[in-house]
Amino acid sequence: MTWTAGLIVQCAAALATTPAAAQPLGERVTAAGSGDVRVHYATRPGVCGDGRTFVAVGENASYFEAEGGHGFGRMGRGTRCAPGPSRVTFTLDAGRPTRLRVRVGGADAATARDLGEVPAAEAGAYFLSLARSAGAPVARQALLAAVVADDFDAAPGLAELLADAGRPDGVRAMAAHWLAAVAGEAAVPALDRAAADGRAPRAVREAAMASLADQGEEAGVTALVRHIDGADLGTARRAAFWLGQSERPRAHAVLRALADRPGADRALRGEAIFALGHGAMVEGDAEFLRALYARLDDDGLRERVLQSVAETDGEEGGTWLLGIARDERASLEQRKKALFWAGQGEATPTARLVEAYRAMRDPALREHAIFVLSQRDDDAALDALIEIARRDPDRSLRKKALFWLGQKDDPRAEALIRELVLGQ
Amino acid sequence: MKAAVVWAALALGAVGEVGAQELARRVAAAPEGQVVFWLAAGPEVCGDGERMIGRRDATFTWSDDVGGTRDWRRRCLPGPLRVLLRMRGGAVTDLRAAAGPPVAVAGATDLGRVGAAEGVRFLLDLAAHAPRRVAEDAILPAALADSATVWPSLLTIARAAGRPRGVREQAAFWLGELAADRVAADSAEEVPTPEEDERAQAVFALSQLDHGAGVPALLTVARTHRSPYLRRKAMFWLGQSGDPRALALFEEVLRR
Repeated sequence: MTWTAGLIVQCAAALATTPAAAQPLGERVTAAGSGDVRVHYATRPGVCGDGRTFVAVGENASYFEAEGGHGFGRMGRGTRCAPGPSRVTFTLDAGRPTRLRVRVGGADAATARDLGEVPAAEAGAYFLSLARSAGAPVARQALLAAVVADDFDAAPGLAELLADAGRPDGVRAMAAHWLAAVAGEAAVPALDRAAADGRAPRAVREAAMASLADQGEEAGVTALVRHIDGADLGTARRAAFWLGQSERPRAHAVLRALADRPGADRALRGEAIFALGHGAMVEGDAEFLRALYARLDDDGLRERVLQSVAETDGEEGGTWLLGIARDERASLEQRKKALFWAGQGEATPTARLVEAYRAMRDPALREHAIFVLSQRDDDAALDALIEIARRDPDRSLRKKALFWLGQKDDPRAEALIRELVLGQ
Repeated sequence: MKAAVVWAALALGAVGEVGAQELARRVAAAPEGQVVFWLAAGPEVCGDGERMIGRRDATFTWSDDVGGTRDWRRRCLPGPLRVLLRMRGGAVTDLRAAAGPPVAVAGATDLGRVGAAEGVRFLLDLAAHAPRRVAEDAILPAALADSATVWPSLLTIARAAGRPRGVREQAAFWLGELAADRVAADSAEEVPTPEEDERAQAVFALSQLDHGAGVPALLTVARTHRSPYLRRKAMFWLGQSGDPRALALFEEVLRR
């Protein structure tokens, strides 16, 4: 009996440690019962991770998890991203995956049963299949697991998933992102169809448009431009936004032309202006926006320009905004808005805002400048408010400064207030 | 006809006062629906008889639709407090107070005029025990009734950890008002000097400091500032603060 048991043990050990040529991965997972099990397999070139919450597929497509959610983005400079095999940990309930974690780089705590190495192509196929059938949380991780696998072309399966109206929106949206990451220009037709599908949920269409912008090719820009010119205004507006996210010069040229077109839909023009200020930085956008302002006679569109300049144009933009604020030929409303957005622009030094306050003569503008200063958190702004509260010749402005100082959680503000009330 | 008779009786003061022990029992026994009783209002209380009560420089309304607030003084006339209850299953489920010219409520069980002391006791009992909304709404008429000493009960309510926060805040607010009356009654309707107006902004700013950081300075102003106007302002903001130190000051002032 002893040698029979030993032979059985040896065979079992051989099966457990050999890449599963004899038993497909799916069957091995099902047979593993309940609890945590792990497999590993080779990853495609360009895949790396931090071993905890972050996996990247090349520079432009990263997936990260955070408490309460997940997201996509570009890998930031200086991010530690180590290449290595993909390690997928399953939490199983009677052979059914209820949770997946995909990790690359770093090291796992050895708490899961190790099912060993799996051929990468087999792993990719298995996980794509799982993504087609599992609930959304497992399916999303399964997509990631499939995409990172070496020797496996996930693109056809991703395109099918994207088009599958029976799958959850989040899974389809994720398929769009990964399709753009792995297939580049070849992904454009599938993404374009999804973006144009009026029956598709908004989240799926949005993800498709985002992916058209992210995949970085001219074909993606061409597809988005077609949507801008299409009949559906809602789609056109979203396409405008995503064009702004593209770094392609042609994308921004299209947006500038749209923003400058008097006959175009007003909301669409506004979206184009917003997109130029809140997307990828392309040379010439800032100068264009500043020049556009003078050509606009719509206050709403002009405010969009002010907002966009504040967002993107650095100190030069701040100077321009303060110039409008101080221009006595401009309407009070426009001057106040320019002042507000100058204050919102991080690159505008507080000292310039204080200078503007001192130079202005209109009491309404000066009051607004006090509010703008109150929105800043730096010492220079606090100093200015204290000075105004102490010494401005206009009592109503002193009161305004006091009001905003009372909203600050700052010991110097407190000290001044006490001094004014108690004379201490 | 019945409503008209009630109106005339009130106007003539001919309706007899409900006995001291009777009010709570009669309210509890009243049929489902509306019940109303009347009690004397304190000095400087006025109203439009239905939706607005005014006192010195403040108004208290049950509705946004009171025809604007700028000219409220022209519409604010002296008269008794009217307490309108909604009864369901023997319990008060809603309470509205009004002041000014007596306006009868069609279809309501009218309990007539009650003595201020008994009416206030009934209202303070609601404030101490009724569900939040009724309790909060009962404090206003109790505080505005004539010749009633309400502050000890309000202080108990303001300090009662088991009472809803809104009820404690209402009690604290009225304690602040009563304390302000005690220390600076004559300043209630004075026009502040420009300097006082500016300092009042600083008093307000003290009230906005986080974590009650401004309370010690507010207490100092309330106790010692040479300007009665600013002492009132400090009392008001202390009443809004919910700070136990403010309640201690109110007790100190009201006990004098």
